Amino acid sequence: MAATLSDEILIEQARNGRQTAFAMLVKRYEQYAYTLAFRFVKNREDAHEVAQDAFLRAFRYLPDFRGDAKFSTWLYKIVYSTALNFLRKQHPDILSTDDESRPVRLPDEGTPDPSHVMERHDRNAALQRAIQMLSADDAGIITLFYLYEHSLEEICQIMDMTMTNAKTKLCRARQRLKNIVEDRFSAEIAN
Amino acid sequence: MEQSFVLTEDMLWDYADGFLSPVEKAQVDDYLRQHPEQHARLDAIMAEKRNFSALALEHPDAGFADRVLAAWATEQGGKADLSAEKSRDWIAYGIGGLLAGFLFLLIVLIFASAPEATPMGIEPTDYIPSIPWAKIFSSPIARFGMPFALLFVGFRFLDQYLQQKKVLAQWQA
Repeated sequence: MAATLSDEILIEQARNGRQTAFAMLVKRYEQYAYTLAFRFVKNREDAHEVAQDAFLRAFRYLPDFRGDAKFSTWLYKIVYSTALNFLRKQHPDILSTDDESRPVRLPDEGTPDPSHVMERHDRNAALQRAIQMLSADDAGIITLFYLYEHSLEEICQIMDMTMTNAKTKLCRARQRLKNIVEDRFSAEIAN
Repeated sequence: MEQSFVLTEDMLWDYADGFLSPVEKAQVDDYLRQHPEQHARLDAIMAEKRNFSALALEHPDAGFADRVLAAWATEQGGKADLSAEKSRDWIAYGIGGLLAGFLFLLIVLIFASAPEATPMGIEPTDYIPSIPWAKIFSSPIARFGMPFALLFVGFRFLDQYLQQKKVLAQWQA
């Protein structure tokens, strides 16, 4: 089995106009770009549109990609900004994709964590649905940090925010997700 | 210090996420060592973190990649045809590049040595310049620079050719 080609080689080949290199980059990142788009726009059809637009924008600006950041970071930044533009077009009245107005319920430090009693499979299914109920920014930051395992620095680049802001957002997003799981899905999982 | 230290939920998450400084991390480690019953809280957070990391990726519709490539090809004013790529012959481009480089360097060297090669007393109109091969190849630029430049161009094209072969092989696999 041949070693997987690095992003750098594929990018160089794509810059030389090779369709196969473009195709391999799309294949490599389609699920990630689509998942991130879906987390932001919450709709499969719109997520396809956003992910496709993001890939086209990425290819258009590929000659400008200097390699300072990872290709994935650069691509997700494009997905994020494409999704934001899409949401603003769809809902011109939208002010923020954040969820600062929703209160964060702080946990009772003495209460045992409910994850002890939940089956892993059920919990994952519930998490999957709960994450769709988060705001675009919250769902995005959770996905980027825990699922894509991007560092906080990379998330700052993607979502254009400061380290402190990113850390606070991540903490609040995690708390909101936990609240949603407990409020909406705990009974369902227990059954 | 021991009594004033409170291990909060946020601190445990920061510990699990790797956000704590070495000093803060050491504090938490010490606290957990002294209070092993508190380890369950950290275990719960680690389990939650694993759940987050284990979330499945969403799958785009089949044919999504093809649609992206078709849209890209349309934008480029062409048609997506990956099989046509095989006809591109990078060896031909490589040889062309080598020849072009060789000719370019030759022309530069001829011009560089032409004034000295013109014999005195001969009208410029009657003079047919000859290529001073001996002079050209005695210069250090020709002896070292030209082979180096040709080797560089040659390796560059060879590298491109091998990369292209790998991309095609992986795509077909």
